[in-house]
Amino acid sequence: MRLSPNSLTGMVAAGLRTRITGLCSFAASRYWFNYRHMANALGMYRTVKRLGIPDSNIILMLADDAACNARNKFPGCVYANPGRHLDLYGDNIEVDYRGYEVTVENFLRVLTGRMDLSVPRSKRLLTDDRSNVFVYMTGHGGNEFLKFQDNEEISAFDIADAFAQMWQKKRYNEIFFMIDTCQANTMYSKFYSPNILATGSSEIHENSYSYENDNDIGVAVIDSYTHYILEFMENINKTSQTSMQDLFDSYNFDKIHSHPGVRTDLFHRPLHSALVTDFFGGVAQAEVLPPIPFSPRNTSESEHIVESGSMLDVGNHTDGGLSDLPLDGGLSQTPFLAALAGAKGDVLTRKLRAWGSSALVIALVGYVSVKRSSY
Amino acid sequence: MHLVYLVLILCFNLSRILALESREQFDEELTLRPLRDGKLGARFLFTTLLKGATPRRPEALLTMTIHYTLFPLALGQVLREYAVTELHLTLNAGNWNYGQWGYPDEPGVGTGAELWAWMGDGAPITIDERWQGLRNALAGLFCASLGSLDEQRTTSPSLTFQPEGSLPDWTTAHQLRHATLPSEHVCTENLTPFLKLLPCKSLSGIARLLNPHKLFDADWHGLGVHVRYREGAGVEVRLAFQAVFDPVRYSHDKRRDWSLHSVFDRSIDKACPVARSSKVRVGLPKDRYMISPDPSVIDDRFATYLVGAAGEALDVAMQWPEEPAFQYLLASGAEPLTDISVRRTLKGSSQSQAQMALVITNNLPVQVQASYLETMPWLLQFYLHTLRAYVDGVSRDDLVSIISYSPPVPHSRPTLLQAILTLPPNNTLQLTMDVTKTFLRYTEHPPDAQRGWDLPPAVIIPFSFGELLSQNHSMPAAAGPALETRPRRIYTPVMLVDLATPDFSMPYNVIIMSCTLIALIFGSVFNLLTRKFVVVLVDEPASKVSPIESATCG
Amino acid sequence: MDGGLAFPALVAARFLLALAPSPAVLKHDQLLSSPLTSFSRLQEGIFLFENGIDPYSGGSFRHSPLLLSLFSTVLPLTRLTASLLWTASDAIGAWALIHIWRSRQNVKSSPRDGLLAAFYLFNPYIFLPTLALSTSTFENTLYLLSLLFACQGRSSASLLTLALLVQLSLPSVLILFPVVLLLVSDCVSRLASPRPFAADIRKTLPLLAEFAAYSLLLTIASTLACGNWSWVEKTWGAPLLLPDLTPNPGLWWYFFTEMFDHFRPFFLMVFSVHLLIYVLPICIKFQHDMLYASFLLLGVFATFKAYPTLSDPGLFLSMTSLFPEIFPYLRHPIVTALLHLHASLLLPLFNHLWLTQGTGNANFFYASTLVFGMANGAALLDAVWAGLRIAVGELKDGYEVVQE
Repeated sequence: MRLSPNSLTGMVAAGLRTRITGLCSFAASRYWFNYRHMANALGMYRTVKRLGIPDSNIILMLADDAACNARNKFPGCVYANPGRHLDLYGDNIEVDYRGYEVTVENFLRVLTGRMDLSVPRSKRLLTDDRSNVFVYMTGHGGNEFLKFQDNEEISAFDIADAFAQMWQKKRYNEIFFMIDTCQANTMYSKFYSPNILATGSSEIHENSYSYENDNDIGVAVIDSYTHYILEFMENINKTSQTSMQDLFDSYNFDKIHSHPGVRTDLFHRPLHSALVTDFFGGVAQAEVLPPIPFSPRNTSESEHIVESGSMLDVGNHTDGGLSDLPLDGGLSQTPFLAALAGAKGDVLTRKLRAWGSSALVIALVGYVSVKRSSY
Repeated sequence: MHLVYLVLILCFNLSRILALESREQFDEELTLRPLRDGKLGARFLFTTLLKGATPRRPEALLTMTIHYTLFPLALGQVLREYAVTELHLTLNAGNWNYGQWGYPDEPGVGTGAELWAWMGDGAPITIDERWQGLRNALAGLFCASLGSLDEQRTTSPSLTFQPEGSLPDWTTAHQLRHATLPSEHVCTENLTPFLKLLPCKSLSGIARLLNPHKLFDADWHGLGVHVRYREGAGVEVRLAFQAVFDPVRYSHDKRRDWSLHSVFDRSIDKACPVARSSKVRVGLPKDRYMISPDPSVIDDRFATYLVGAAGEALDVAMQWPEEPAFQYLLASGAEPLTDISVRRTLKGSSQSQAQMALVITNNLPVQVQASYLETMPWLLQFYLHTLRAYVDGVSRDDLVSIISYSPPVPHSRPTLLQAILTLPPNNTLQLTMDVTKTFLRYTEHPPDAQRGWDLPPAVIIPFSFGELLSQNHSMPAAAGPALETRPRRIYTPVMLVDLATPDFSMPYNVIIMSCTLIALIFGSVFNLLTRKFVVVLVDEPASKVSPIESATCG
Repeated sequence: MDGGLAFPALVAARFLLALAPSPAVLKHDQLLSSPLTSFSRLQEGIFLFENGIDPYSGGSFRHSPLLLSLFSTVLPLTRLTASLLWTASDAIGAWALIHIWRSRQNVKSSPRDGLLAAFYLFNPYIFLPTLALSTSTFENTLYLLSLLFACQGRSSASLLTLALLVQLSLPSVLILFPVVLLLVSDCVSRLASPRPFAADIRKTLPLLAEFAAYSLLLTIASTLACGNWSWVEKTWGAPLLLPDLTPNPGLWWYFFTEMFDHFRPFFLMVFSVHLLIYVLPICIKFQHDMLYASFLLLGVFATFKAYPTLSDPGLFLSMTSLFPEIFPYLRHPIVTALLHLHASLLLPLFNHLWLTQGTGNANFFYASTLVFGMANGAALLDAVWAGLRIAVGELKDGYEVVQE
């Protein structure tokens, strides 16, 4: 069925308003030896996609290309476990920011929505005050900072301010912030905006460790904290009633080798009633609004547009006329020969100008020397 | 009342849809060519023709009447929004080996991303603004960093990138915008949106074979999106995926036998129902081979299969039963497959100066004229006055004529050098030119600055082939296989330039130390200038300053 | 030694040196020629100009359009003519230096002539840039000619040469003030007996107007050669905006390589104004000897200008030979000499290590430019001190001069 534009907009306004969960998943480290950071972010990406969030609501930032890296023995694949059972890259992936585009500036722009007009929708976090946002970051970090590309860093204050701006601009309902890096818990210590639940992999002065190596890939494939989170998530489906409290209770120092932290003071719901799927799942809640009255004028206008906008010229074309042009069809030698013939520019006028200017300078010098001798 | 209108609109639109169905046609074709170095060249081509459509005039209002059934909607929206008449986007990885593989089926094989578009002038929005919008939109659509194809990389080499289709005869002129990004990676995230543009996605038809894990393991792979307007026919979108596989590497006994299953790990199990035609063409080698199953059509060059004709899964296989293991040809013994061969290098170890060398060999027994295009970012600046041409070590500057040159402007504009080279028959022309490397601000370096910068490929087009002098070549048939002489683009490999890097940890230190030195000298000079000189007696107690000797002006 | 023979002999030696095959590496040496004075870029500009391409549409050619028109018409450049022309320019510079000395001493000839010429022609900071065919050679010659004509009271000639110089290098306009004051006073050495400025300051006004007229005419000539005004930003804008960060022995390039983008305009302003600050105080303090004031300003520019080459400090050092009276009063000449020696060894070495050998990094060369800046500063301070100290005269034993 085809809808003319006005009826389409009318329907969206009259019918549904969806609650979108946005996700910003994001690996900040460059270079092959940071494979595990790519795997961390991709693991999260796969999990939220499995739980029903579409690619259009996910902003995935990867600072380097691990899947098609020349050092990757398994092209187009990123594995998060040593047996290489599960390919996280898969056949269907959309990376929104990659390579050199992963910068602190772009990250903050995605969060705050301050973008150039021509930036496409797929690179924007299109959320509103009814959206739950899950932000996952991983990379190399330290006390209150996270390195981007081994080149610049983002500080805990930057993220806190970006979240505050998001709150003021009504860009979220609730945020769940998760970070896996060394001294990760310091990164959420500066938050001050409401409705943020934050968790991190390690305390201040404490490292986060990688989980396991794969001998064929040659580097560590995932970080410990993320590995256990993903393991926990594997048991969750779209209708799961597991709460955040259950997730945090699953933290275990003996396995992770660091002390994950949780910050709940900004979050106003009890953790046992906050479902994991509130953030990880693509929950669309329909809400019926009173319909906007349809005016006949609108329809007639739309009809008019259909008429005038038709670009399809109903010409007399036959299939026989569609014989194949050569693929590099237009290349012909005539323009080259024409250009070759016309290559000589206005050299003469330049020459004249140069002589004129030299003459002026020489005349000036001559005048001054004559003037002096006449004294 | 509303309902009546609604029904009217629906009926009206429904009739249009039915009309439209027949106006779009979709063809797909897979070409497989065994190459002489044991590799297998594959080219997937998906052509959608929107019959009777014309590109949007840039000054025309943007109306919201888009309905396509087969034509990729996401792409159609972009084309209409920015009023693009012709568009070419390629994302390639690897160097195309012209010497062993010959001319590619798809000419755009420059490493990395290349985007060029012909757009009509005359809109309230300028071409440059639309170009910016276009590359951002395509960056979003194809998950590529095309947003960085900014004015620092954009040129307009209209001679080399002539429109492939026809340009509508509007009152305002068309202009070309062209940019390359040789460092761009190509991976699954680029293939995913590409597949989404196909009417059957990768579920059926030959697109079923587009398996990322195999494609990105290929020695060379690239995808391309080409939109052109064909006068009298309509707007055509060509989606192409090209790859060079290495069956010898996949096989355990070093044989070059291949099958669709061994190369793609899949076979074509059903045809795409909306495709007008769906073909697999296999290039036939000159030596003894076996091909299965039996092709629908076979001529001396190609065996053609119609997908879906047999009603069962199609898995084409080719074998060389008499060949125990593939024998690689020696590079020196191989006859060239292209009219000319090109090599481009950057010489010199200094991080401030270098010399660029271009070696072009004419493989034909006739004189060839070729156009030579360099679109160099401002990182490398040419000393054009040092451009020298040599044939057999003899200086032949008369063989080069420069057509156009626009010098680079640091931080804003790349170099554009277009020249016509005359290549003597069966000989090699060597061009050398001094270049200087620029020094960048520390914020302009990429995060992995020490890796260097990729420089875009040069493009050579042999366009004029002289007459063969029969008395000199009494046996033209013996001059090797007849080369197809028509103008075609040849891309050189990309170069890597190593620029001097500052110390990235030094900003504060440099500011502190330089300012200290300046302040020290400034302070000392003004100290001398402003304070009076007095004479003191140093032998006596210091209190006895004698004011009488105080001197100097002040 | 007879002064009459020494000068031609020295010049002949220089011509021989110029004609001897010099290593091509000199031409690209960043110490000897900056982007504003490089011979390769000049050739490139002339080539583009002669082939109908506006050289100012790009970013690498930053020479004055006057050089473009002169070298593409009356003085065609080949390797041979260029060597001869550049050496002749140095010879004229040495000749001007000798005559400045003569008019300062008010003598027709002096036994110091040969020494002065040698000090100029065989100063490595002067003749190496000349071998590299850096256009800074012309700038030095024009400086000296302008000062010479000013000493001789030939105001038009002096102002015209200065106007030509400003066409080649914008910062030289700061020397206008002392030159005009020199024209209304005289150049006799009065360092030892300072007195207030005697001449009528209002007499400078017609001179300034004349300078403006010459500059205007030359600007018109430049625009005529170029065909449009784009040369202004490319040539005169360069020392103010620092568009090219190619290393040189000065203090600007690394500072602005490492500068944060949002502070760049501010610091460009600070560095430009900093050059300006010295003019008035030095002219006021040395109002009794304007030649000495312009000499000191040259020292300031050599240390702090945007695109210095070795020839800028070279001119300053060679000019010290005009003022032998200050030698006994130099504050720490040994330290200065050692610093210069140190810097002149470090600069080429570290430049090579960083850019060619690849075993050093940018900080190596930066450090050596700091040493070089220190050496130039020390030389400047020596000269300022000695110029003021000489007024106190010889002291009896047991007394010493200090500042209040």
